[in-house]
Amino acid sequence: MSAPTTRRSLPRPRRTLLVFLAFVLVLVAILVGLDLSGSSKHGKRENVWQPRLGLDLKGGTRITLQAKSEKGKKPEPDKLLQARSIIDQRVNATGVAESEVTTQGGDQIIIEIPGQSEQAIADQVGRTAQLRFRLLWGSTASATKPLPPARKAQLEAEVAKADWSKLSLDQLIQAETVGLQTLASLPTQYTKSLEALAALAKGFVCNRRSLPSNDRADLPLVTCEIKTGEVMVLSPMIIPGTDVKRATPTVPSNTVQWVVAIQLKGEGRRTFDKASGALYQQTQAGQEAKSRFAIVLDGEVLSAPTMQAHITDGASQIQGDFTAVSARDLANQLKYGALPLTFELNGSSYEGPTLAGTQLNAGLVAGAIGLALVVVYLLLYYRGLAMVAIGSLIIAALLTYLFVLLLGRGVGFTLTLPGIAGLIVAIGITADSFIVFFERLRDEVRDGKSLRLAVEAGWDRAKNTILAADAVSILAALILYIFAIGVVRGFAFALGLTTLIDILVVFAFTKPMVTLLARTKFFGEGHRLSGLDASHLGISGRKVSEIGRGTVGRPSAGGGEAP
Amino acid sequence: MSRLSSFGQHLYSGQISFDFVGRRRLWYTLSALILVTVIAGFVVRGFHFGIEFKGGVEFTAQVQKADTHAVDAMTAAARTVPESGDPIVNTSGAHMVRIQTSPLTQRQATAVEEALTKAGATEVSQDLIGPSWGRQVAQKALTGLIVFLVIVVLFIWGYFREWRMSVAALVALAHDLVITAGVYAWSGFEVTPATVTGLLTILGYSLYDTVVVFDKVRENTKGVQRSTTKTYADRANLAVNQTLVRSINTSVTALLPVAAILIVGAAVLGTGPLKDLALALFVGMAAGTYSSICIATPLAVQLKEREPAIKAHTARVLGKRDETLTKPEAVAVTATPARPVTVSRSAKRNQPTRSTRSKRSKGSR
Repeated sequence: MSAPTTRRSLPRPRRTLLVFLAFVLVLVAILVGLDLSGSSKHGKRENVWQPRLGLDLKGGTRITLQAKSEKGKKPEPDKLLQARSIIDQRVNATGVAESEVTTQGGDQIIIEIPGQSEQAIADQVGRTAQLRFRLLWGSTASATKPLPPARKAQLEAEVAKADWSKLSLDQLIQAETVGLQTLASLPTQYTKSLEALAALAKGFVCNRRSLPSNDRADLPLVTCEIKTGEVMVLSPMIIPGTDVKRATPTVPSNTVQWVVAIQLKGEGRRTFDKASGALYQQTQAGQEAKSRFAIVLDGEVLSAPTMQAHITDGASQIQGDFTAVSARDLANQLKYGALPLTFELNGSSYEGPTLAGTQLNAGLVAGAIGLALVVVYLLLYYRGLAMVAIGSLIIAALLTYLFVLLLGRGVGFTLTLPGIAGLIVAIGITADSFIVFFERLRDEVRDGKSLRLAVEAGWDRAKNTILAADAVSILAALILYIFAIGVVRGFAFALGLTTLIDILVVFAFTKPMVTLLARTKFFGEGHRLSGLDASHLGISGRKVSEIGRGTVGRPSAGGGEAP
Repeated sequence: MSRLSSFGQHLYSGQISFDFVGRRRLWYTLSALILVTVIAGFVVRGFHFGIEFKGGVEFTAQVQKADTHAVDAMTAAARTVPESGDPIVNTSGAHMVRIQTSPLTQRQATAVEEALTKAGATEVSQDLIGPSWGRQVAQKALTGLIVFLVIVVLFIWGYFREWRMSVAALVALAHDLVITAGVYAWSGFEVTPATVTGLLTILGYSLYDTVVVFDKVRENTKGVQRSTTKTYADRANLAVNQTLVRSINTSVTALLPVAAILIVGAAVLGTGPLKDLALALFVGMAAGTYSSICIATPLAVQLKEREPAIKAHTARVLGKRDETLTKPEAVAVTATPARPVTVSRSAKRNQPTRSTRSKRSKGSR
């Protein structure tokens, strides 16, 4: 470790410093380039030199939607991303500016809107809206008297008892085209469930309040179409709303009536091919009642059209008494209504601009005070050498600023209050790397090395310690970042970033600077104010520029032991 | 300051030596006392969980002058919406009032906001917190904690090639976390997600500090078995003393900025994430420095001394020392002037940190 310095390992501090300087200049150049080109993601020209601030520092609304998980499992990542883009579209559709919708922690969606309070949109954009296609097994008129709740719950439990997922698509279709009795040949559990379904339908009063709240895809459903008051018994889901690729309101040529053209994709398209084939046969046979299917949104039947063709390519039209507005609404619901997940409001906050400004100021003031205190302490203890430490801190601060700007543009990193706290905490870590190095350096001088030798030998040992300790710190930040949600992530990110910057600075700036300074007369010969003078280091009988007594020719030996 | 650095020199050479490792019983007792006090705090006082853990709505309103009059007015205003329960209102800074209510729907929250505005508040900020939010933060933090501990144990084990150091570092870590939690219990400060962040950061810092000390211990104890005068414990203690100045300096430089956050956070913002975070950090960092010196190293040494080879070596050295005790080495006498400091036997002279090159290569290669 402390092998005598060979030619090969001779430090080249000037070159290292120049490379480092070039690196910093490149960063600045990139930012200048960004400033001149004025490119930004949001169309509006942003000030490149100002860090992107989080909502807690500039004011605005933040809404957190939590995905309701089935059986405590996390939703699939692509489902969450899909939901994110749908919610993003919905937020934009409400007309708020500069909103940002992001996912978080694998099961949350965050909506951030700077400026005024917009908390009211939470209900609007987070609405569940599960869209499903089901077969229509039977319909009846709305009842006048609802079932008693206990009886209703009992019947619903009866329906859920049968394992409907065992039924094939063909069996489901047959149940409509031929009749529900086809299911009666199956085990008795289905018969009982079918009886329960019929009883439920008989006692169903069609209004908004009675619409089923727990619309489960794998069970048949009793619900109704509010417009017509028709109560329907529906099959388990055959096509999920996520299979809707496109839905557009249109007036087909040669007609005057609005329709909604939909295009299905994937599995839904194949299912629709089969189902429409079977149902269309019924239409042709004149049995229109047996050729219907229902489009259900959140338990409410949007439309229950009859099948007018055998559709093999997934492109179909929903006809009905549509106006331009209602056709567009339905199309939108078909397109964006298909949130693949259920969300509940987890939290929403609005911070006014004054409070936000106060917090920003407090953070900056705390940072400035903290930095000043550290500088004073370092000056008192390390004297002249403290200039290197302070220089390192300033360089680290500059680099951090540049990285915050760049990451803000690049990956949308925003500075939050906990983030600022993370940066302030990092002052300690940056100062520590320097302290570890200097204490090692002093130890080597005390061991009898001359200052110039001690710098290299001390660095040799210090760098391992610094790397190990920083590795722990980065590890902590990384794990915090992965497992934390909300504000905590900003903190972890700041901590990790500054620790990396610390390594960079201590290797590329602090060490070369010390090497260079050790060659100067002021430091190398231990001027009284340099922080490296003999009495300050606690050695006596020699100058720091000289090699200790009894250790000449054995630079790695312990000093002071000679007789 | 120069006195401090010559103090550092004496620590380094061993002229002054605090017997951290040998007096482990003292430190263990001290820590045990602190821990008992702290755990009593958990039982007696419990934790004051912030609104984030209970769910509810927190309003922050600007008022002309934040005084009892404003507090009363705001309380009355919030009460106009019966669902807000018994609102907790307190001032925060000179022009700010914080109002915490029971969980409300968005509509009710907006109604409260309107009532507050009518009562003279301007610019009402609103934070609606679902009941599960704080729990989620805590849950995630717990998962993170477990993963972190496993990885760190492996890391330290891999870096130092010594599972005992992993164990000692973990014990020190647990010690720091419990003490920090205890300060929260006794002080009655609110536990918020920011506090949890602070606690998690202590993990990193406490271990960071321990790693630095252990690194020196490892360096000093390398080849200790060839030494005839120094036991493993002596070498480890010297390491702690040699890093003592660094430990002090690091702690000061780390604690100064945190103290700045704490003071500014408390003075300017009253309550809020900055203060919660900074308090946890402040206590945890102070405890971290103490524990890496007084808990982690003695414990690592104690565990190491159970190893048969080290045990035998220690016995050999101590045996030899007893023999020579009758004629203490001359250097030791000259190097210890009549200064009223504790002098351990290990510190009899300006001894080398490593044996000379020629000696080192002998035997091993």
